[in-house]
Amino acid sequence: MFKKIWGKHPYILLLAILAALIFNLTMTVPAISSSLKKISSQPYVFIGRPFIVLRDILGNVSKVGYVTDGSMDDLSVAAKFAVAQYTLAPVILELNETDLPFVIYNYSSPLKALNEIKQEGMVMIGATQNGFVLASNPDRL
Amino acid sequence: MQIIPYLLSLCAGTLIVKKFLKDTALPFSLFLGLSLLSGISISIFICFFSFVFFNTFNLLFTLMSHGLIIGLLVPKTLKTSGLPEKTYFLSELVPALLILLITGTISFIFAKNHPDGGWDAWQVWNFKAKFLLLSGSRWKELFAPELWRSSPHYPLAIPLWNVWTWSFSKDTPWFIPFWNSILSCSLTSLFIFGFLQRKRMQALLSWIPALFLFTIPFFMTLAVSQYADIFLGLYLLAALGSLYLAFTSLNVFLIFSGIFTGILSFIKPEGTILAGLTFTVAMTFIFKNKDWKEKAFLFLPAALIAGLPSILFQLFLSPGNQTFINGLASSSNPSTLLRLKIILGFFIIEITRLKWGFLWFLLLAAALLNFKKVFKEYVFVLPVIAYMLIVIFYYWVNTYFEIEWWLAVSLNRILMALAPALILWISLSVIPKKSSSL
Repeated sequence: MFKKIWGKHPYILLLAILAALIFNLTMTVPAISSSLKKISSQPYVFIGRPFIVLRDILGNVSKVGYVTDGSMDDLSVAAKFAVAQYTLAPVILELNETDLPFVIYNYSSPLKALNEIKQEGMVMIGATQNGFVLASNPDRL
Repeated sequence: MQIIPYLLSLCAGTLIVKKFLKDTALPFSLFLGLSLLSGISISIFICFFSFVFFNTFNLLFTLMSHGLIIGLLVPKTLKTSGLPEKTYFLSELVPALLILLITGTISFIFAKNHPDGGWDAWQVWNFKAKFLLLSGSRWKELFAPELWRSSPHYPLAIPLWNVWTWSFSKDTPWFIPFWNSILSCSLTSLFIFGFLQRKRMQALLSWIPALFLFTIPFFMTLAVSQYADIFLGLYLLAALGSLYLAFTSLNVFLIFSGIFTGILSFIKPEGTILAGLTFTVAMTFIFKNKDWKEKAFLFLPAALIAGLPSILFQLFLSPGNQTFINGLASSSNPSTLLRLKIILGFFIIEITRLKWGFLWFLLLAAALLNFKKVFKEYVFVLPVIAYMLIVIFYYWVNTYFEIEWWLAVSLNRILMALAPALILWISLSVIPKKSSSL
C-alpha cells in the first residue's frame, strides 16, 4: 500500500517535510528572537562567580568539606553543590564532611551557618554574596 | 593564541585526509568535516597519552606530538595536490561555507542563551576537563568514589578535547567549551551534507536533511548544552557514514571509519556500545568480501589504535558504574514486567512529542515508503536496531534508578545522539541521485 502511495505521489514526503519545516520554524524563529533579546539585554555573568572569592582563599587545598541543611534531592540545593564543585575544581568537595581543614557551609540562612560553625568550634574565614560561608577547622590545620 | 590548538588539530587532520584520500574526489564539505574530526580525534589521542606518560597534562609533549605528525605528513602530501577533481571540489566550496555560516549562527544564538551549558556540563564534562587541566598529578582523583555525582566511569574524550583547546588560555574560560559545542553542531550538518554530496545526491534536496535538526529548538538546546551527546551523535554519524562509503565506493574510507569508531568508544558508555556494534558490523562485512585482507588491514589498525585510550581507560582507570543494580538478580529491586511496559510506553510517547518537530514521524514515514531501499542499508540498520534493543534491555535490567525519572532525563539524549545518523541513513535511501529525477 505504501509503495502504491509513494509511486503515485512522489512528492508526498517532500510536502510533509516542508510542512514540518514550516511548523518547526514557527517555534524556532520566536526562540531565536527571544534569545537575541536576552543576549542584548543581559550581559554574561559566569554561573559560578560567587564562588570565585572562595577559590582565591583556598589556593592549593585539595579537599574541602561541604555541609548543607538542605536535601540533595532538592534540585536547587544539588545545583548549588554542582556549580560550587565546578568553580572550585580541582578542589574536591566532600559532602557532609567536617573533618577537614576547610568546610563550606551552605545553609538556608547565613545566621544558621554561623551558629553551626560556632558549635563545631570552627572559625569563619570568608563568605560569598549568596550566603555560602567558608570556615577553617583549627584542629585540622 | 587560543586558536592555536584548533589550527594544529585542523592541520594534522587535513594532512591525514590528504595522505589517505589523495586520489579521491571529495566534496569540500566532506573534506572539511573529515579533516576537522580526524584532527579532533588525533588531539584527544595525544592528550590522553600525555596523562599516561607524564601523569599530568604536558603541553610540550602535546605540541611536539602534533608537530611530529604534521612534520611527517607534510613532505608526503606536498607531492600531491590533494584536490584531484578541482571543479567538483570548488563547486562544493560555497555550499559548505554557507552551511557552516547558517548552522554556526543558529547554534551561536541558542548557545548564548546558556553560555555555561546545562547542568551536566558543570557537573560532569567541563568539571572533568577543568580537573584534568588544573589538578596536575592528582588527576586520577577524578575517579574517586566521592565524585560519583560526576559519573567517574564516563570516558574522557570530550574533557580531553576541552583540555587541549583550553591549553593556550589563562585559567579555563567559559567560551572554549561554548565554541566547541557550536563546532560540533556545525560539523554534524557538514557531515550529513558531505556524505550525501559524495554519493551525488541532489544538492538542493540534500540541504533539507543537513539543516532539518537546526529548525528544532529542543534539539538545538540539547546540542549546545556542552554535553557529550552531540559529539556522540557526530562520531556515530561519521563512523557509519564512512563505513557506508567504504562498502559502496572506496576501501580507504575504512581508515576513517576505524578512527571514528575508536574515539566513539571513548566518549560515553553509550558510545562504547555503539562502537562495539559498529566494529562488529564492519568486521562482518569485511570478512564477507573477497578482498577481506586489504579491507581488514585498513579498518582494524585504525580502530584499534584510536580505541586504545578507551581500552586502557576501561582496564586501568574506570572505577566501574556505581549506579547499577542487576534487576534480574535483585529481590529488592527486581526487573518487572511493569517496568518493561513503562519503558516501551515512554518510548512511544517520547517520539510523538511535538518538541521533536515531527522528526521521528518523518523518518518513520520515509522508511515505510521506501522500505526495501532503507532496510537494505545494513551498515546503518544493524547497529541502530541492536543499539535500541540494548538500550531497552539496559533500562529494564538496571533498577538502580526509578524508571520514570531515569527515562525522563536520559531517553531524549539517547534519541538526540541517534538522530544525525538516522537522518543520513534515511536520506541516502530516499533522496534521488543527481542523474535521475525525483
